[in-house]
Amino acid sequence: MKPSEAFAKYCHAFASQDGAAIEHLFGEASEFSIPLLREPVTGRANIRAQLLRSAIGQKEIEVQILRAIDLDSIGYVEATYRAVVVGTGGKLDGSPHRMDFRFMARIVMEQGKIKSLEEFLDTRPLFPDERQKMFAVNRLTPYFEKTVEEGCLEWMVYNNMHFPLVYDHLPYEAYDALAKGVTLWDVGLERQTQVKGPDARRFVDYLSCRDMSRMKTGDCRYTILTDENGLIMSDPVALFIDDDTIWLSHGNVDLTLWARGIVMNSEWRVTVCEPDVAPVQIQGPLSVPLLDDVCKEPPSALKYYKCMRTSVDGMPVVVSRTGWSSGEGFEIYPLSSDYCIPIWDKLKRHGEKYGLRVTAPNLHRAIERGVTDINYYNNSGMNPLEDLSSKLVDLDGEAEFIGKAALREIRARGVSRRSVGLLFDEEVPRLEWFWKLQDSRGGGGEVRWAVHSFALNQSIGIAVVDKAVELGEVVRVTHPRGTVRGRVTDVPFVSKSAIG
Amino acid sequence: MERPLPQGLIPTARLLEYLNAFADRDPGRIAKCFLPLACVELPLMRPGRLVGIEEIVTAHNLAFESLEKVSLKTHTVADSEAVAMLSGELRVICRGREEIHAFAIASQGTPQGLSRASWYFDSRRHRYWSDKPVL
Repeated sequence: MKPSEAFAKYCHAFASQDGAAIEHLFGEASEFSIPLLREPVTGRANIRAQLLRSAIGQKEIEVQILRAIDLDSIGYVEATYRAVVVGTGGKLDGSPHRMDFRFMARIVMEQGKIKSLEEFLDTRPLFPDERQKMFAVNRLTPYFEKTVEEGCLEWMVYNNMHFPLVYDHLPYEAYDALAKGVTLWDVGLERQTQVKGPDARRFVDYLSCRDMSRMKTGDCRYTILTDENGLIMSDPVALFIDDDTIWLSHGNVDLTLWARGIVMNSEWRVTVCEPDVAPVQIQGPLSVPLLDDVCKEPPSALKYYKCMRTSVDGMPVVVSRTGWSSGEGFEIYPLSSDYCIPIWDKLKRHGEKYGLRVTAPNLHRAIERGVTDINYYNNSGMNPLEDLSSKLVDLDGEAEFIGKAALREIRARGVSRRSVGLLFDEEVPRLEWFWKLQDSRGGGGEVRWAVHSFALNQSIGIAVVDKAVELGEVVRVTHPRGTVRGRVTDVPFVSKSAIG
Repeated sequence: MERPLPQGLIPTARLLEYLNAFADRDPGRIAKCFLPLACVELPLMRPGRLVGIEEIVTAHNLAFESLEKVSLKTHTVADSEAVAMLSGELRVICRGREEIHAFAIASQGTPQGLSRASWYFDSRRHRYWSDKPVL
């Protein structure tokens, strides 16, 4: 087979997302390189995996060979590549994100297989001119420079810190790495409200809608905190670090200030502060062997929603078997920001053999599995009885908690709204703030989350709607580019094993 | 250039003349390689596509103000009557720092000169060789 013929077959197999055909073209020791990858890929199986990952993240792929010259076992090709990127929600003007470029390839054949395929192109036009610049009034996590090194392009502000969110030119690549491999997330912006003292457990129980009275050291529990009117303030994970120390690992809310305000001038025997703890998450099925390699005590021994103290190269950490992925994964809390960079570097080094990829928390996968994040500023005026986690609210226990009376009244009157999933009938843009929704009875609601689901190959969302809205019903949603229909469905959208 | 390159058909000879002149940082010799309305595409020179001898020479001049040293290693040239293609490694010292670019180049031409030379390499993590665009 001539090099140019092999290349043409490769293009067809790629555009068709035909993994078997891709693999058939390469040998065991073949090498593939393209500037879109940091390192060349070696071996037919690895080449297949990488190329499929790239192909699935795009659609309407077209390759046109402009000219080709074969010289025995070596060939050169000049070609054009055109494709649409899947999963970004498109540009502000409604046009899709595209991967269009002209490129060259050098193909070397050996014994009828592609021995090496090297693609040459300029990737500069495919990315923003430079990374988003930070403003000086927000804090940086200890890992910020590492995220810049990893090529982060976009951040959001979270707990007054910069939260790295977009690294990849193809959203599917991060999704795939989480679903099948292992990912490392800078979540140093996930702050801890530390409650310490003889009343720590009772105080956390008082803040929380969920019964915490039976928690023991080493337990973790997802919970919801409300204000006195029953409005959702935060949905932290509580980590019971010691007998008198609990961390509320929280989202984008001033939870430490809230707790300090309640304690001030009260009889609670606790101190409240934000310790110098900046976590990372290691999420994905290969997180288990990686963490066992890195930590002194193997975290694989932890059950879900448990935590323990251990160390990494002598640096003390807390590790919890928790995370924002609904899959295998852990959070590592270094007990000083001085340890953050050495621990990051160690995870990177040891993660190489597992194909560790630095990414952000994956919104696509989280929403597919019904994992969300809710805080005071973005609660849509919801109380927890209207939220996906309504079953966790303990209104009938003995313990008092902030908002209990209000929530009991709401329950007595009847909860007026509920949270549901939506399957959209066309692609939706990136959600920058909530979208209005109207049901068939004229009732209103809000779409709070909207992403592309790679498992379902369509746009999905989570909304708060009138309680009368039923499964299967179609609602109309208005977003900045127009109106779409959404069919009401259950959450989670897919099972744990369903992957795109 | 780091090794002698084979002479071939017209496009190959012209392409190699251009690459030799580039390695020697000689805009005058570069100009002789191209037809009057030739096009050169070179990622690290703004605006990326240079049309006509004047733009081509001006852009190369600007680039060579920053490129203190240039060396090229190339693989086998593949050519036909009107097209020559090769790949290789371009090393430059730019503003005191070494850059290494794995590149490929496609060229087309006539006996009078090249009508096109398109370089393909990734410029993304590098500063342009000149901050001045050629327009």
